[in-house]
Amino acid sequence: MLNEVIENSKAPQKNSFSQRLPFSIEKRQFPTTGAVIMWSIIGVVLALIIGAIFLLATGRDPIEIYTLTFSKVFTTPYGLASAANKATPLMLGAAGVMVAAKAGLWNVGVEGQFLVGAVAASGVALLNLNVPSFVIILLMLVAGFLGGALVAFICALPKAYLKVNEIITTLLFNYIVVLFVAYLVHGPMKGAGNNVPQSAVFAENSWLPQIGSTGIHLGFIIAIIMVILFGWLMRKSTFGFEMRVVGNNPKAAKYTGISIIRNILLVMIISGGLAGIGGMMEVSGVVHRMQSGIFTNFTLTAFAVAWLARLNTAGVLVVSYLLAGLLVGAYVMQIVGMPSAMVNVLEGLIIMLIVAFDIVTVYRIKWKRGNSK
Amino acid sequence: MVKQNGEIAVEMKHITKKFGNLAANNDINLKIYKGQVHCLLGENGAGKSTLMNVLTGLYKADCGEIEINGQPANIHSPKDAIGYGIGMVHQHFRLVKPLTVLENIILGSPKVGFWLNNKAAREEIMELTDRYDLHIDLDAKVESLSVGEQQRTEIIKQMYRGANIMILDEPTAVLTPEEAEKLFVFLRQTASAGKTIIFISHKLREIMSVGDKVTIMRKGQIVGAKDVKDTSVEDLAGLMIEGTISEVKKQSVEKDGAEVLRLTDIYTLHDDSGNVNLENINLCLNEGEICGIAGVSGNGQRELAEVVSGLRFCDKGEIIVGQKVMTNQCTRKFIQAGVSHIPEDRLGTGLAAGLSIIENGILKEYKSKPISVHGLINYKVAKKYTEEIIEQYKVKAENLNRPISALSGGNLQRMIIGREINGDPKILVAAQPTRGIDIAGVKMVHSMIFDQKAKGVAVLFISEDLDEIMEVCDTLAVMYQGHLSQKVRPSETTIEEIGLRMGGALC
Repeated sequence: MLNEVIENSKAPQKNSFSQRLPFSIEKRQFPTTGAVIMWSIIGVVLALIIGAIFLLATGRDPIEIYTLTFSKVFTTPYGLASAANKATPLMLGAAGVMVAAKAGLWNVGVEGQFLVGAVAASGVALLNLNVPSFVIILLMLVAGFLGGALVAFICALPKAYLKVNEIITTLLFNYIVVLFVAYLVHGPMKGAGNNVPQSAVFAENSWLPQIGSTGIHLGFIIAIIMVILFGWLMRKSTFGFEMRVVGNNPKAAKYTGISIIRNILLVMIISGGLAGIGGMMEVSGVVHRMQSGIFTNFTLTAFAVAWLARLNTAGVLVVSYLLAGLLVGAYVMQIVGMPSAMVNVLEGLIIMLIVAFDIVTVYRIKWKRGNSK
Repeated sequence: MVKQNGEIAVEMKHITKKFGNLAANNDINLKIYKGQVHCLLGENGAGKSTLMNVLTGLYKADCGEIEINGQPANIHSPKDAIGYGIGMVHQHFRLVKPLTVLENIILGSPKVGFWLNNKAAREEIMELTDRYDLHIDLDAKVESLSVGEQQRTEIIKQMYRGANIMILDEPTAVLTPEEAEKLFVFLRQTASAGKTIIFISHKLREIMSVGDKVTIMRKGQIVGAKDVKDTSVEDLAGLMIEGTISEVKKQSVEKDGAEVLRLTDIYTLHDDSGNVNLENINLCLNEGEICGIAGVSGNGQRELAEVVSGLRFCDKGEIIVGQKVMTNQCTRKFIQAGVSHIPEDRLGTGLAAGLSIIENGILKEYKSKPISVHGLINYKVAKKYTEEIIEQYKVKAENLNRPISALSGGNLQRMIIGREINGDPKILVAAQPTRGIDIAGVKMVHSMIFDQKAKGVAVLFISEDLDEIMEVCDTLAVMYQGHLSQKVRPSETTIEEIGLRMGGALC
């Protein structure tokens, strides 16, 4: 009875405003898929609208630029193919981020792992082995995986044994790797008779072949398969299960007899390996030589993909393609006379708004019927 | 030493505070005299802390009145309480560790305005510490202080705020014996100087040595009030526990089954995270035996459960499970040897809150056939396995693919017990398995444990509730500060003896 009194005494103040509204807001226990997709789309649209204000302020016609960019990237064969090639390393990097995140780790070092994977694959390519093309490419794939995995493994050791924050180790290792790669392309790896800091062009038998005449290289398909495979393993395999338990509640993992150290090391090897393969595909499929700066802001973009996809495998595939399209759009926009920084602004806005809207996905608006007093 | 009853500092009249249907305080009447050390004695959950939280304005009593110094007092918030000169030193300190002692003391004090006047504050505090002999380096960072010094900082903080009535909640729980001794001297001194001390404890010897008056609480009610000089440790132990025992069920004399667990001379060392050392633990369990571990929580029960279930290494001693020596084997070996563990902290340790109900259902079995084959989990089988647990142990769950955090407390407990029992264990470690669940749930847990006993499982039943231990267990032992008493049958001991052991008065 006393509780009722308290409830009643509180009620008037609390509802005086909200009672007048024609709807009430209720909290759900879990967001529905529909709500997540709806709010993601609202986030993108809102970002485009805010972007349009920037464009208008600088005296440009947003609608023209948006339609032109969209049509150039997503309706022309060249645009579609470029986006696919750009999406290839991106989806692998994002898958790396996703796998680590499921085990509770923030692998901010995918950029360094990507670069070392690229260097290792380039090393294989530059040996100019006299073997069939598919053997070379297979070796490059393995080298790319091992290169990325090695970097991630080194970063994971202090985390596993000394509980050093992996964000610190992976982030700082990026700088080491970037400078190391710069040293390589300025020195030992520099192509003969070449004044630019880059390696010689690979022999053609170490290029990832094109798929028909689409302009998309085979890596795109391999990457999709790998992302699906590892996403599936994380969900269905016992080792994926162990990693998710570790990520979700390390105490429960310990209680169940799951080795936390082993799983941290293993998941980082996989995470780094995936990013490393991304590096291999970029040099073997697109650049055909090693140089620094082959994919700027790789970590950021991979994180954006993984988070926008809400750590969901299918989401990673779709979002990486869309975001790659946006990146390709940057070039198009530059042709139309837009600073490419505008693309960064848009990218940032989209990510920020979608993450912000994540909170509202668990709420439901309930319209009041006329009979309520 | 004991003064005549003088002015009344605090009077609480007919205080009742309910949480749901549970009356944490039921019609409490309490008089506390000025210049005395008044002890509140009772087991955990007896309602001591609730009563003090009412006095300090953290809780609002459902009914009842409080008078301070003979005047009716309206205490609606901790700020009001400070206004009436009531200060509380909590068991877990409210200090900002990177700040200095001085900064902590003046933090939030009503005497400090917008500008910090450290000099004036420093002088006032120095005067205080000199008068009460509470010496401390005011410029030391709190994080660099020992626990005893941190407590002293808290005490000075309360005095600086003008506390005339000081409440100390289990102040010696964190102190070494020497530090505790110093604290007692200080408390006596302060009381002589006219301040009023309310001292919450469940340690009998402390109360005998520091208190003027003692009020004994049990299950939300006051069951006794005494002058310390007119009472004895045995008296207090009896009052603290007696009567809560409804009826000691005579256990049928069972045949002793084969021995399944033996701990010999187990020691564990401090690992700096506030764990209690286990010292010289000896215990053996037979098939079909339910062995109760009594004691106030925090005396090493969790550590004992962890050692038995392979979660904590021991530094000395030997563990034998079945016939095998298992000392310092990995957790998985213990699980494979048939040790099941219902942990104290269900959601924090026993379950992965973000994973689905199915995934939590198979948490211990995910590696065995047919749930997983060749390293791949068969979710159809896993679902069936989980459904069985849910059905058999009456867990209310709708969508098994939802995160397990969606279940209510009682259902989580059923889920976890069901899972641990379903694996056909040989030894079941049940740490506080009935804490926080309703009476129907408690009955259900008990019957589940009796079923296990009938199957020949040896159960280590850790509980703070002596009633429960007496009702459920075949044998029992008491834990106090990392020591475990000899195992006895309930019929071979008396409530007084158990009470004395729980309070550390008997070793």
